[in-house]
Amino acid sequence: MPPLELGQLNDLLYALQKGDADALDGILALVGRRMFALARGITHSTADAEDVLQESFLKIARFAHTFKGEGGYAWVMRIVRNTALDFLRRNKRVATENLDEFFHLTDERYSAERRHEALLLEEALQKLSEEDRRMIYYRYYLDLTVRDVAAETGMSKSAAARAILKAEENLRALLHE
Amino acid sequence: MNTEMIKDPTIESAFRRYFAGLEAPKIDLSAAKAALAECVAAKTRGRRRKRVTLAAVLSACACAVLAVVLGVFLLPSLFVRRYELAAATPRTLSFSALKENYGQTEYFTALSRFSLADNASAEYTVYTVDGKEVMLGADLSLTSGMQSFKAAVYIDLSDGKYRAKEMKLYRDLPHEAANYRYQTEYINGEYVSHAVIEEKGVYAEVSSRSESALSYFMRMLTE
Repeated sequence: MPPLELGQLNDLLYALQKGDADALDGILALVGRRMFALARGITHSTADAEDVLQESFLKIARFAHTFKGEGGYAWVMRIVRNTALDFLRRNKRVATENLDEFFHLTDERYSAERRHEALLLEEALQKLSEEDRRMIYYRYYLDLTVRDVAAETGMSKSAAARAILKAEENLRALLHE
Repeated sequence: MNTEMIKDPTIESAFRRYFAGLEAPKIDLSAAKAALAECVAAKTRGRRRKRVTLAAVLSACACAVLAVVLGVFLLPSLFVRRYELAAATPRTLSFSALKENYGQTEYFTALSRFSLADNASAEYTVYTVDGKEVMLGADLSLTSGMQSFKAAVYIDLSDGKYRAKEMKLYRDLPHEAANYRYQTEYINGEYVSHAVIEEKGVYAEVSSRSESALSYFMRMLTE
């Protein structure tokens, strides 16, 4: 997310802490699509993703007072991720993130004008190796820092940084083809 | 200095346009707004409770001073001895020692599940102050498909005569469940909850990726 939007999201979360209910509408407008994309990728279902989003907003409202610092986007996306995985567990489904299911947003209700470019991105993502796709997922869906990626994968920070850079280089090359 | 790696601007831009093409999700925020209002109301009630408490303390100050003077000289046994848990003498207990010494206590059955189950673990510590055993601590963990969590539980053994200063954070927990008070925060991807059963001197901290872990654990502890 561009820095301006990240700043706006942090401001909305701080407004929420003060009890401003309109901030929830602001969060939905600013990052609702990204939240949906994450929930849809994990649950593989539009209806389930909407349920997950409903539940996620409930948690954002209830736990806004615990948000500190400047990482609002990562904070919100962690809530969505954990809510989606909990949803799968509660419904006795395997709670994993299958990246093969992630990059099919054009199957959803999608803008006709943007579809062609989106399909090119999806095609490029599908050509990446599993590890490269996972790095892209961690950085561009979940907004994890290098340290978070290292903790998530068990790599050292330097190995995580190298893996991210390699994935980005490979994706850039595919996008320029 | 922030040395965090910057994202690739080409890829960031591509993803921004990618997400922007999605139709906006249809989400009803009324339940979330109601929950927010409830959280704000609970915080206000907590602040009011503190103000009332402060007023009561101030108005009773003179009587309190007199009572302390009398108490110190005449009724020392009525006063709670405050201590630092960190400075108390710890002693690790095996499960069999726990069973032998505390098998009749209210929470033994609940704690024993963690020692006996394959997918759980438990470590027990008894804390001693002035030669008296004042607190039983248990570090517990459970790993299962439906619920995984870590918990630290402290059970007062002194019938309220000794009070650990570290348990101060359990005062004024804002939310009420059936038989305990609690607060949950979302920290670094985990739900971290503090819960207290005040009349029993039971304090618990539960960490989990699942929001329902606290209620699950407290049911295990109290059933």
